[in-house]
Amino acid sequence: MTGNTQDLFVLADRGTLFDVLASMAADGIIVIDKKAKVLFYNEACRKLFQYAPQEILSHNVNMLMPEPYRSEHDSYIDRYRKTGDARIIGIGREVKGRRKDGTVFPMYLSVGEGVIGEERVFVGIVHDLTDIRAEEERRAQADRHLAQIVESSDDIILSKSLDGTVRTWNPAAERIFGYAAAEMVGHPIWRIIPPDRHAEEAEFLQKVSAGESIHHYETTRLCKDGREITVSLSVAPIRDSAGTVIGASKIARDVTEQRRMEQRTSKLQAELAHVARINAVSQLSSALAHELNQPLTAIMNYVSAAKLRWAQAGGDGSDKASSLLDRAIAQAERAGAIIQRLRSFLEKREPHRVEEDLNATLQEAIALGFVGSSNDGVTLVLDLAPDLPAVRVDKVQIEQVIVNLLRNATEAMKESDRRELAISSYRTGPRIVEIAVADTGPGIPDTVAQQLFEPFVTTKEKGMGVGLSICRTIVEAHGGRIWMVPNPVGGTIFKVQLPVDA
Amino acid sequence: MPGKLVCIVDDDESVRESLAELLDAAGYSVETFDSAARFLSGDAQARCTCLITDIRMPEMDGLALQEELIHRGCRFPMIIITGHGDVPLAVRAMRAGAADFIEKPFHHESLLASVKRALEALPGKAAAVDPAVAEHMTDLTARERDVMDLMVLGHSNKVIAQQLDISFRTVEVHRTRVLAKMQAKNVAELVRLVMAQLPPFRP
Repeated sequence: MTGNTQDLFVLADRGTLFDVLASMAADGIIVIDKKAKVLFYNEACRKLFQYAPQEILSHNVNMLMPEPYRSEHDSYIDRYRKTGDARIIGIGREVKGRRKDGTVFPMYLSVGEGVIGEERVFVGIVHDLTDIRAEEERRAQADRHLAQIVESSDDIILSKSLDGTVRTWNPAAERIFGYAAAEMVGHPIWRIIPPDRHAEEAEFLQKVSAGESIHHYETTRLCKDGREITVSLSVAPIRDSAGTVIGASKIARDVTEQRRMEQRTSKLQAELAHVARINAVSQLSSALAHELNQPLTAIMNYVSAAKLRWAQAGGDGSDKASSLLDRAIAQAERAGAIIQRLRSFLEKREPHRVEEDLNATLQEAIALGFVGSSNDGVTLVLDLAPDLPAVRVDKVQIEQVIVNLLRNATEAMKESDRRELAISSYRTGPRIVEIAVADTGPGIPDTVAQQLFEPFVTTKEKGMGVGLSICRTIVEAHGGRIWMVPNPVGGTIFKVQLPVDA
Repeated sequence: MPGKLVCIVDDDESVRESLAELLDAAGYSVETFDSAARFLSGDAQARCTCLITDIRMPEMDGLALQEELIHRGCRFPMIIITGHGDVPLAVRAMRAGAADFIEKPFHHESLLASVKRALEALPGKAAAVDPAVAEHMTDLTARERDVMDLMVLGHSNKVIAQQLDISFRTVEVHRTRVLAKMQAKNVAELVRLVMAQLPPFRP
């Protein structure tokens, strides 16, 4: 202390010092006598309790308390005076105060005991906790919100320290990995990481320690039951209040099913493309064989006729000319045999027929038909009968037929104002189901319609004209039929009829 | 062979004309028609002693032509030319009384033999039941008999395999055995042999 302040304390009379302290204190100061009558009440109290000093002085202090303290306060003092059992005096604790307007607020009350003259008095210091409690409540509320988000998340949310010890483990993590939080929290994260991914995880921890984040990284994780799942994960550093990285947060989404679906779709597409190619080759070969058979027959006939003529003209069959003609016949026969072999080979491909839900097959074909093709502006209208019997079909082949029809229909509507593709399935007899694919394209001219399902007939500039003939081959091989009718609203409807037990 | 008029009905010009040349060279009188309708509208049917017709033709096909000729009371033998895979149709034609069917492309000797056989058979008289054929049939196992029945109905190996619920390979094996046991060179001959054992089928 400097000499000046010392002087101040020496010079100031004690009453002045008390007045300054009492009126300037930020906390409330109340003095009561042994009957709880208020003897002193400072400025801070006035602000806290809203009572003016004249409203409170000489009154019982319990008017500053809410029930049940209000009614019980006198008995607290009595008990203390009789037993000396101090519950608050010399200790202080959090209690509730009551303002003039009846509102209640949290406050910290410390009470001391003293003697003024002959009189025993109690001194209370009141510290308002309203703001602190409000701030705490706000934080707790925010924490609860966060906790609820984490709890209810479908995605795995967890945190770990930099050595890989799990700190938090949400219900989604419990559900997906099969480990309860109790099994994981406080334990190393390594047990959910496949051995071949350990290096990767170590690298993540290193990056996170350096303050870096990882976004949507796809990797595999090990579940409690031994299953490997595919997850897409994001990892970010967790910092303490000083900004030092102390751990990592990890959000992961189980994308196993999604990837499986994608793989299935692409496998289906590949299968479809494969079958389409085989069918196209088969159809082409078949058409080619048919077309070649005619000239081949003619060649054999002509050469045979020439041989007969030559014999009649005096050739005895052993001369050079006869031998040449025989060799020509032999070669033509060989060509015929090659065609026969090709056809038998194509016939041998046995279709794989099993009972299928036709609507599911349709849905799959629709998904496939629109993959990778712009179907912009085409409205798809589905009307699938719910009670169709299962049909015995080669699903991939039937899908090929539907995809073909869908693509034709979509292409046909390219120039149309109205682009509506209506696909329906229904039953036309106890053992017969039908599929209709209706477009609102320009329709098909009668001249083409007559031979639409023949090979090499097309309305497309770049078409080969094998699609519909392959469709027909497939449908007929299933014992069904395919045909077209004009759409009453303009365009074309292709119908495929299939027997339930083909 | 004067007086033996062979008529050819085929929409394919190359096959039709080459066949005419072959039969002409073999000494037959030949007339050609590019459609069933053209054949039916002329007087050739009155002079015809043997008709060779393609089975697949636009508008009126070989089967429809046969039906019309039966309806008109024509009795001359009819040989059906088929492409690959038309065996079921050919079998129908055989059951309706056709003399033979022959698959394209064919060796001239089989065709000429078929025409000769057709012309030699007396019109309207069913082929004699050959006791040897009936005996061959008793040599077949039950499964071979099943396969043969389906072969004679004109089903492909694939269909036979499906219907009997056996593999394609097995059908092939049975098929070879059936042909060997029945002493038939091919399905056409088998059908011919078996047909002779049955009363003609009239639709």
